[in-house]
Amino acid sequence: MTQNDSTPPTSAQAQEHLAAARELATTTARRGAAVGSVTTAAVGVLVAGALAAASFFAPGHKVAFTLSFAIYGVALALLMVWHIRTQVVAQRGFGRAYTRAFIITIVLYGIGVALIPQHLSWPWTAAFCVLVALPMLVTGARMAISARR
Amino acid sequence: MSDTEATHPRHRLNETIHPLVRFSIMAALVAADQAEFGFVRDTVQVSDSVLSKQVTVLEAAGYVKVRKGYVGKRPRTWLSLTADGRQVFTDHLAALRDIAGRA
Repeated sequence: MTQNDSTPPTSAQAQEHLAAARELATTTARRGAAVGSVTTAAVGVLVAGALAAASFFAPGHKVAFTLSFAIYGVALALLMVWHIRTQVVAQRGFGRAYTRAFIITIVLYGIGVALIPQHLSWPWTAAFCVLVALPMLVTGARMAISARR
Repeated sequence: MSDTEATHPRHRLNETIHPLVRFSIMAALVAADQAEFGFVRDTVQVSDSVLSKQVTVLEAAGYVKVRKGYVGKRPRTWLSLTADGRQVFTDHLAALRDIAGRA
């Protein structure tokens, strides 16, 4: 695409500009989504994993419970380090979407922790863990899909 | 100047962002809350110095915000569009669409 800046663009040149703008915006959105969607989904899975470990070990395995929680903390920290180092584009709207999904996930996690003394059967516990991860999995998927449009 | 000339969409083009490199920088940033300098340089396919010079022009116009920081010990520069820059770019695209539609 070449053009003398002092002259107005022709119709064809305007179309070229528009096509170039679309392509550049898509490249940026895809790059942002590649890291953002993975981080979002992974945080959801980690929180759900933490709830699963808490439900499984809380009744009497204090060491295992503490160890599983420490593993969760380390995994989360490593994920954040990876995210900060890898992210070169913050996808537009990522922060808002991530925060909204994270709040829902944490509220569900809190409800899950409150339900631990009820000793739910393992299928219900597993289903609830999936529910905890769901908001962030869905948000991650939506980020990835919207960047491909 | 006749009325036809005055209403031609080319009059709505923004002269600051019309040059191709600056237009490309704006286009690369429009889909992001912020993007790293190196990413924009590679995407727009210009050298560090060219990008730096053009970003300075856009920053002076109030269209782009530059934020410097560190990731570990490595310095990083983040670029983002201001609200004004986003509006100007949207208006510029609308003018280009009108010109393209006049074929």
